[in-house]
Amino acid sequence: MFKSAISAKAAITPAFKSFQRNVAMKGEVNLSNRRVMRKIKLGKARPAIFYQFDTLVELSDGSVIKRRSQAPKDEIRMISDQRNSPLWNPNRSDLVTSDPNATGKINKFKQRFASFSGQTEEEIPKEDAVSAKEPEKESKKDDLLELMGHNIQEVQKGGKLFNKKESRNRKV
Amino acid sequence: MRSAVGRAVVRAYSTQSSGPIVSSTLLLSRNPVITAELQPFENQYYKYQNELWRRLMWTFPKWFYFREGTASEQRFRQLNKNPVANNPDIEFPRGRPELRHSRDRRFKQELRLPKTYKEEVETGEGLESEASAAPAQDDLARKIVPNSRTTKADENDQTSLERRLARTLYLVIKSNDKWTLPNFVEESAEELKALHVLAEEGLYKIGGEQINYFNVSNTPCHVYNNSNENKKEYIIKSHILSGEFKPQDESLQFLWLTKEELEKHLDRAYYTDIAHLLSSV
Repeated sequence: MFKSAISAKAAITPAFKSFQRNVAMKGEVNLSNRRVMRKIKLGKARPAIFYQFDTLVELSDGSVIKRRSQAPKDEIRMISDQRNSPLWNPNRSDLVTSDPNATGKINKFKQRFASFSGQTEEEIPKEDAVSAKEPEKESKKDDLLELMGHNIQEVQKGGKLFNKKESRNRKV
Repeated sequence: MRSAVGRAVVRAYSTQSSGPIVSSTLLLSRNPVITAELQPFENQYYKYQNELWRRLMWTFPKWFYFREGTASEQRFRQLNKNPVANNPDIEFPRGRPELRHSRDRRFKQELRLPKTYKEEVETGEGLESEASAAPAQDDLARKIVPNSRTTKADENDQTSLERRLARTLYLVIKSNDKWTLPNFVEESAEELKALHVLAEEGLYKIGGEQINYFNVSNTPCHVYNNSNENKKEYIIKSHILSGEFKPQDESLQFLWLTKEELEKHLDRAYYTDIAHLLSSV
């Protein structure tokens, strides 16, 4: 009935483009009009429920919560969560000693490169990197000055180029 | 300063002695720690809904979580054997198995997962071996066991904050051989204090300062007209978040009670007047 109404309208006004919309009629369930789908009859639609496990989550203070989870883990033990985070426990003084970022990237970087900077570990590695760069620039400047003056040396211009002959010799 | 003097003057000329005394009553509650106890009917309802949910679940996408040929996939496969195959040569009197992704679609899917601990120990091959092989408390791979819903304090200790974890508890103290909510009267009529400040100071005075509490509102939620003592008791609602109520006076008796227990301890008229403020959960 709806279709015929549309076609009749198109016949009257041919200037308009006539198209059939994927409109759900009474007694049908259409999930999407993008994909061509089988029409799902009333009462035959099933909800999209992914498989869920019953999971026990143990928080850092020992309390256990039961929940459902799609991931194949039925026991999860939290090491840091809302129960021992200083953010959610502002009144607890015993949490201050534990560093919340002990496992973070920045901390790992600090542990690795603290000895190079010659500074204390507490300082931010970004600052270290900046201070390490600056003297390098100065030394380059000094070389240029030397070139301009009395002691002339050959300087490599541009990057290292691939040498076919040399690479061949190396293989042999 | 001037206002205080003015207030004093006003008080001196007003008929203060005949009017009711304004006081602040603290309704200090400890909110439930665990989920509420379910009625048998509720239990059945949730069980039924859960089973429906399990039946409607899609097949577990094993290929997504376990890559073919890995050790974890093998462990998973060992625990979850394939169902009976749909052999065309065999007659199935109870219906043919409808296998998709090695799951019989006629039934709900039940899966077991590999554990981080030795399961033989948990299932109990022998009690003595279990005791010897019991994992250390700080072992991260130990089994997760839900805590008990009842605590030691549930037995007889009504002053503990750890009793009746599923219920809201309210603080009551004994004054003049009667159990009441803690009530505080202003000491000097010259200095007027806000009701919630009065309640806070009174609480710290009787219960020590080791209480972290959250005041719901500075506005009282209810007024109880105490005609016996010619008092207006404005009730301030607040929750105890952490800490403990430690009576500063040795003789002070206090209890943490649920709504039903309050009904037994408080005066009938007093209880009926404030019953709507109390939570039945």
